[in-house]
Amino acid sequence: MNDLVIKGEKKTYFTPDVNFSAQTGICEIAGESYQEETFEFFNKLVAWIEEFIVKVKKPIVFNFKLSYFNTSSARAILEMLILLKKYKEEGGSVEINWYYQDEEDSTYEEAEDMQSQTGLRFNMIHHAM
Amino acid sequence: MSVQVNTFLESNLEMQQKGTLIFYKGIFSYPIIVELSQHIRNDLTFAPALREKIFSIFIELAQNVSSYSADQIYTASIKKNSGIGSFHLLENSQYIYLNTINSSQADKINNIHKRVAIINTLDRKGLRELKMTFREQAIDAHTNSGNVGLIEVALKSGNIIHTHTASTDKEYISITAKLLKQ
Repeated sequence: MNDLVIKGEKKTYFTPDVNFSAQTGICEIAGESYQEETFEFFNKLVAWIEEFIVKVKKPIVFNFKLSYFNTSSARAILEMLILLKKYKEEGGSVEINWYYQDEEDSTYEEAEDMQSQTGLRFNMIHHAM
Repeated sequence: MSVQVNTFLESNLEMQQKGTLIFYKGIFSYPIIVELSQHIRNDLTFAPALREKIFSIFIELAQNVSSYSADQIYTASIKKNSGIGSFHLLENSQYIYLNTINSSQADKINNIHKRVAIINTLDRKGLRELKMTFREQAIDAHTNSGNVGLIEVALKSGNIIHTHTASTDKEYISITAKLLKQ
């Protein structure tokens, strides 16, 4: 299975940097996400996770280092997390690391809500971005 | 559109007493939304946390105009239709105001009024719960939009949202968010 590497755009729209490794199972999304084609972008990520779960079946570690994402991106991220939750329920090893700048920022509150919605526990890591 | 902008401003005494920081009227394509958002982030002299709130609210309101304005125009650079409308960022000594105006169908305008009426009754906990419910529904229904943009606006602004309607040959919806400066 191939890695998924996408360099984020930072001009007429903002997409995050993506680095998903099939070999190590370490997956990172970093930067900002507000864009026109949110679902086309995130569908590639969802498809990669689905393939990893079926073909690779190794432990997966997700590092979210997002400093801002709009509501349509949040919906897409939640869909990825629901997929990871199912993998965990089926016996897969899933670790979520959520990096945030401070507890006042909106991504911190989003992370709280997404944990509540999926039942997954995130490691909340304070980190300057 | 100019008539509508003036009508809304003239009908709102509170808004007449404010200073304009940004006013834009035209196509809400994504390159233009990003351009305006960068001015909000980089050029306004408010505290960084306040600027980020203004930025986030602007993104959600602008995307509404882009997607839901009844006046759509083809943008060659992105090969897509984008909505037409206006955005006004104003301030007075206490508050920042973000206002968008766009044309829309009467039934859609009614739905916005109804949704905002519900949003305006909710506290922060209630808004977060409603947002989660809408997102789950969107994922279950395989729809792209969670329809949570206005909930996010209420969460970010910490205030109720004001909506107004005006009609001439078309129906127009005005949406205003208000943030405390301190």
